[in-house]
Amino acid sequence: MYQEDEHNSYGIASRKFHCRDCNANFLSLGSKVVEHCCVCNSANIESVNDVFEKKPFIVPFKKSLEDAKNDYRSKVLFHPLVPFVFKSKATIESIHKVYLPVFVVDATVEGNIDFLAGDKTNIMKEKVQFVETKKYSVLQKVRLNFRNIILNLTSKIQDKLFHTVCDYQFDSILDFEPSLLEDSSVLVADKDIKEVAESGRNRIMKHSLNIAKSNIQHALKKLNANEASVNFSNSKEVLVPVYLLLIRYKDKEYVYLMNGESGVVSSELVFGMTEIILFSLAMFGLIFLIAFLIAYYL
Amino acid sequence: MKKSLLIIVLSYFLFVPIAFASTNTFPRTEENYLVPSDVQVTDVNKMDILKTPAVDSSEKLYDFADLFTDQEEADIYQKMYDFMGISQYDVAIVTTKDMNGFIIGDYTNNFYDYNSFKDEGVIFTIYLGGIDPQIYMGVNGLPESEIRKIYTDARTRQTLEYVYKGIKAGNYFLATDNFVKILKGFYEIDHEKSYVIDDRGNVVKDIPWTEIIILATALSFIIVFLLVNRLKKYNVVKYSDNIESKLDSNSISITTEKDELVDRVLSKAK
Ligand SMILES: [Zn+2]
Repeated sequence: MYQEDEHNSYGIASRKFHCRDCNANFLSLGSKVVEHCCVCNSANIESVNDVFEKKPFIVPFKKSLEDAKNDYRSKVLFHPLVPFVFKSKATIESIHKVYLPVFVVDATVEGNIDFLAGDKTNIMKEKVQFVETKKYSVLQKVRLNFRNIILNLTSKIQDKLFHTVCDYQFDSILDFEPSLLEDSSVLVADKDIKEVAESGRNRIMKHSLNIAKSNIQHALKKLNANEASVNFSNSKEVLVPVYLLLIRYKDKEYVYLMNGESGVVSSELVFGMTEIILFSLAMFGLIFLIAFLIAYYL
Repeated sequence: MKKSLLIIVLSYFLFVPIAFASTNTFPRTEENYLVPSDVQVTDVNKMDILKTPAVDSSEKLYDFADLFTDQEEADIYQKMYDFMGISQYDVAIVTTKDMNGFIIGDYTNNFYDYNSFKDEGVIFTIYLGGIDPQIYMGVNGLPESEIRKIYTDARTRQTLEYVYKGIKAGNYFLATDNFVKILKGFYEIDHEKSYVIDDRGNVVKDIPWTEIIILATALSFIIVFLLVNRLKKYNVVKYSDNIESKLDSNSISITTEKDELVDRVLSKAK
């Protein structure tokens, strides 16, 4: 499997930055001037030590920054209850073009899984109703192959949010090419590899158990013992493209995330109390005016 | 001398145009009841007719209680005259401290009926002979006539309520002036609609403010509520794991190695 090494370095001249506000570490390649953190847009960033060499794979951007801005605008701009800060020009301008480091792995689930199962039937005996419960011991022998499972390596993007958008197609995966990173930032992996692998195994096992369970021909089923294991193979480190926007509103952070390849979006929006009140007042005013005019002229 | 007299006479006419103070009444007798030709004198109404003052119906303003100065009378008369010109209705205003034993409604209606006013007209009476002043407004016309539609019972009540405040405060001229203004106001607006009298005695459209506010509040509440709900649903991030799509469907191999009955329990149904 993969080794725990400096997976945050990309083999060519790059500069590494640290954000003093959100603690994100990210790389910038080429000549791009870096003034803001690619996660939280803070200007409170510092340049840190040089980086090591290593070559990952890369899934290139297919959507433009303009696509992301337009999509974001369409979601918030005419939405009367979304707080103004979500709609400000500065917010829209701080959508960042970012590569996220992930591991792409194949996985095999193999082994025996023991279930307890059962069926209930109603029986009439001498005009009295009985319930007969039959209990079974079911052993399923399972072998499942998963391909291109993506494991998120950065803590800056929540897994559940990231999984929602990560329908990357790995047929078009490219070898690392510096020009592809020209105007984007690369977020540095910061998660513990063992934990990443463990959480990946759990996801895969959970799904496998559901498949095995659905294969049982009884009404009731419960896991008894699980001897199956998840084995990873073909792991490769890949940079995947996203457009990332982090909005701070009332001490909470809301993320807008677009898959830079497919354009699939996951966005966390919220309603502002001020906006609800203002909108209510505006509605009140409008209805009041209309009702008044009707009463006056009819 | 002649010149100065002329000037005095002229200025008298200029500043106090005509002496309106009319308290002239004519004596009604059993020989001459002085009633309009369409009034039949019977034993029933004979006494009422005799007790009702007979006046010159062209004077319109009968200030028996002497509430107005000549100037004020001229002023009111002018406005009554204007209104009569516009509406073709008759108007009579009576002030009195003695109603000859009638209650104010009967007094007012008799006054209009037993003098030669037009078939359609309005009469307004101010009575100051009691502890509190009393006022009354009579509307004359056939039940379905236009004048009845303009001066409905509700509007008559609105008018009297408004005017009474002035009378009670002793502002007889202003109240009477307002009365004529309101008559004109109701005449000029759309007769079918609802109108009220504002603080200054203007007849204004009756806007149902309370209803409008309730409507606007309720509607905007419902709209915002629905919008919040709809958008909430739309906005909630549907977190999903696409792991299912990563499963190589050709590779699925699940075999049931064992499916054994281990126990059988029979229990009574609940
Ligand atoms: Zn930051």
